Amino acid sequence: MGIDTRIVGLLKAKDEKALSLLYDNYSEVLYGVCFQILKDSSAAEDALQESFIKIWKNSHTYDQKKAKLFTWILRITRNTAIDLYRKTNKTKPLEVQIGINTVNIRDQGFDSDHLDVQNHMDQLALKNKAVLEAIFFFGMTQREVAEFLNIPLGTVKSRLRIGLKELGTIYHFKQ
Amino acid sequence: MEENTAAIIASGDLELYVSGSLDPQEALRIESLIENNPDLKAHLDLLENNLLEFSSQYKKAPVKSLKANIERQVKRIERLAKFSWVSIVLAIVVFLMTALYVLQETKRMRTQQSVVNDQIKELTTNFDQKLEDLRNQFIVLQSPQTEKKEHESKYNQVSFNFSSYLNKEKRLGFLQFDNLPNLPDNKCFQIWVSRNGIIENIGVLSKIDKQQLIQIPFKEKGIIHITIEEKPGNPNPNPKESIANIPIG
Repeated sequence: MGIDTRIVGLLKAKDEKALSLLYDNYSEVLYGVCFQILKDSSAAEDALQESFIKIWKNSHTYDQKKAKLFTWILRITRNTAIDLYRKTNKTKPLEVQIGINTVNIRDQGFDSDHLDVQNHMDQLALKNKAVLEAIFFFGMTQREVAEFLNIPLGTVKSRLRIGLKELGTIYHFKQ
Repeated sequence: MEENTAAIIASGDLELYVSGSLDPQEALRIESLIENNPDLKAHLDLLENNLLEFSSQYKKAPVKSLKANIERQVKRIERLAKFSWVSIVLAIVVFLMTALYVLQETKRMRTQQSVVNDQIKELTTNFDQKLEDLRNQFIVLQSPQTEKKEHESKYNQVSFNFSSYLNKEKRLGFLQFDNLPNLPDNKCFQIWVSRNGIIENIGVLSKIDKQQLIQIPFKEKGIIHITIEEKPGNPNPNPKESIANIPIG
C-alpha cells in the first residue's frame, strides 16, 4: 500500500496519525511553496499550520478519483498562503520579479530572488520555470502570464510545454 | 477524439485544473472530459507528477516545533468538536425537558382554569339560586295571602316545633323549624313530598339555624313528610314512619 493511500485511509478515519505522516512526507515541499509566496519564514509557518488544519477539517471532501493527494493538499496550501498574503498586504501591490522581467502583478506574485532552486531544477530554463511558477503556484491563466510577462500567448504555451517536458524528463529520470 | 484531446491539452486548462485555479463549473467540465478520455487522464497524471516534482525543487524545512504545534491544535479542535456534540446533546435534552415542563404546566394550568371556571359557574348558579330563594322568602313572608301554620311533633318523647308558610297564589311554600331534637350520630331527618302516590325526596335536614326557611315544592297538591333515617339518607322511605306530615295545596 502506497504512503498516500495509507494517509488517505487514516485521514478518512479521522486518525491523527495521518497528520504526522502527511507532515513527515510533505511539510518541506508545502513550506517551500508557502515561503515562495509569502517570502517570510514566520508567515510561511503560519500558512503551513493553517493549511494542515484545513486539510484535517476538510479531509472528508477529498476524492481520490479527482486528484492525487499531493495535488489536493498543494491547492489548499497555495490558496491559504495567497489569502494570508492578501490579508497582511492589503494596501501594498505586489511587485514581483519573474525571471529577468520585473512586473506588477495585480495581487499575485513571487520573487525569483528567493527561489532555492536545487540541482536538477537548474536544468529548467529560468524563463520556463517562471511560467510554471505563475501557473502552478499563483493560479494565473496563460493569458494573464502572457500579459504580465509581456510575451505572446504562444510563447507562454511553448514555455509551459517545454518546462513540463523538462520536468517530465527529470521525473522519469528520478523514477 | 485525438484532435479534441490535443485541443484540450493545448488550451492550458489542465494545468489550471491541477493548480486548482478553475472555477467550479469549469473544473466539473474538465472532470467530465477526463472521465471519458484515458489520454487526458494520462496527461493529467503526468501533470500531477510534474507538479510534485516542480514543487519539490523549493523544499525547505520549517522550524521543528511546527509539527507539535499543528498536532496540538488538531487535538484541541477534536476536543472542541466532541465538546460541541456534548453541548448540542445537552441543549437538546434541556430543550426537551423544558418543553415537557412547559407542556405539563400548561396542562395543569388548564385543569386549574377549568376547575376555577366550574367553581365560578357553581358560585354564580348558587348565587342566582340564593337570590331567588331570598326573593321567594320575601314574597311568602310579606304576602297577605300566605297561610302560616304552627306544627308540633315528637321524637323519642322530645317535642319540637316548626312552622309552615304556604302561598297558594304564588305556589310557594317554606318550613321553619324552631328546634330539632338531637339524633344519634348515624341518624338524620329527611323531608319528602308525596303527590299522586309518588314519593319524591326533597333532601336531608342537616343541623339548621333557627329561623332558616326551607323551601318546599308547592306546585301541586301533596303531603310533606319528615322521617328519621339512617345517614346519609334513605332512597325508599316509608311515609308511614313519618314524625310529621304537612298537607300542601
